[in-house]
Amino acid sequence: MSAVARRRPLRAAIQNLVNDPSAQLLLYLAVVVALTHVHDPRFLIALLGAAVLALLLLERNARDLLKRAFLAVALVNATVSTGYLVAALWHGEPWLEVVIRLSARVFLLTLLTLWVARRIDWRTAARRWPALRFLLVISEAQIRAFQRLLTEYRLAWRSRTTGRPSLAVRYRGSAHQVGVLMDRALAQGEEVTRAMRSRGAMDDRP
Amino acid sequence: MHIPDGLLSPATYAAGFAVALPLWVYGVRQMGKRLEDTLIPRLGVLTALIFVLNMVLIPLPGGTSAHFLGVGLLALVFGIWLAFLSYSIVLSLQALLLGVGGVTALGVSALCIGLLGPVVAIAGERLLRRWSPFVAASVGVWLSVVVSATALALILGLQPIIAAENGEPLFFPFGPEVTLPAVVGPHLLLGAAEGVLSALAIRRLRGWA
Repeated sequence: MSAVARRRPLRAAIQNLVNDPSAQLLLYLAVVVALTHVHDPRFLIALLGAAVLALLLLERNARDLLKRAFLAVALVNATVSTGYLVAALWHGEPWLEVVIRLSARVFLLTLLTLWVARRIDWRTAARRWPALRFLLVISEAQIRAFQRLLTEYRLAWRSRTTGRPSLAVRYRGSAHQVGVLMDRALAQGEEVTRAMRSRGAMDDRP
Repeated sequence: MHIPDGLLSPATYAAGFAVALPLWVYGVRQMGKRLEDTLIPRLGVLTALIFVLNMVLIPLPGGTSAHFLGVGLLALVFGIWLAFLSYSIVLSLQALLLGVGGVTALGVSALCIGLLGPVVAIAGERLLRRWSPFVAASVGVWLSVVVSATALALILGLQPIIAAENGEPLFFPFGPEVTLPAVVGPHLLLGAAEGVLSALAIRRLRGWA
């Protein structure tokens, strides 16, 4: 037991809890469930304001997180809110509370998820299931490789395209992207398998 | 077909998790049984590929776009349970890394796309395999996309009926008369394109599982 834990056992217990990924995950899930039970639009706006303030005070990349959360939900929020607004106006029904409730809750929950995802180590959280953790680690590494490939492909496409391409050209572009990714996946699948086999990665399996 | 957090009522997502959780445990056990030195890396690479293919947007007329699901391809290569687990990982990573799709919707999305999709894809492929393996795979994948989209559209469309207060919807506000054509319509076309592409891919991935 450390000196801090001997002198202040409660504080040490809280610190351990705050640093434990499983506890963080449980706390986050509890907050998410609680937020889906809040229906007062004013309260949701106040909670969103508090979350944004806390984010700005505690996170160095707060603006980046806010931008990512906004971009992630903007299309869905705009489509659903506009659709509801038009339908409500058409039928002469109230719409403001529904639109605020929906938009504030969706944005708040997405912002919290992205914030928590940045702080929790998912590999540690999945330590009880070695096969699952194995799959997660490989998938995560390969996702980064594929994302880099996709970004390079898109930049190359943009640099060689003047003006707005037609729908047919964009279809062909999407098909080529899929083809490139598929080729790389086939090569990577065999390469990773050979690399793991040569290093004896699966030798300790039961 | 990504449902963000805040659109599904607690009754819906709780039921989704109640059904999905034991199936995830079963899926992890199935994966443990098939743990061999070629399966996991290949499954990992294909899981990553499906994640990234979900980011390749297919332009639709009118300025909107759709994306591949990839769950039919996973099912026809690795079978129902590994596809279910792999697609659940795709959904989780999308929610956590990109904020696309919600954590509360994971259970419902995993069941509708990750489980129902593979079941339909494999059933459709087996029914038609005798005539032509290529057509069977294409139709199986098309069916999996359309059935998954229909299931999700119905669940979304039930929200104003399940959760409303004084006639005002508390979560997703549109009924099935709106969600069914809006969600299923584009996926009828998208599913056909995905079916053909998946059938082409399966030819090259044979022997992976």
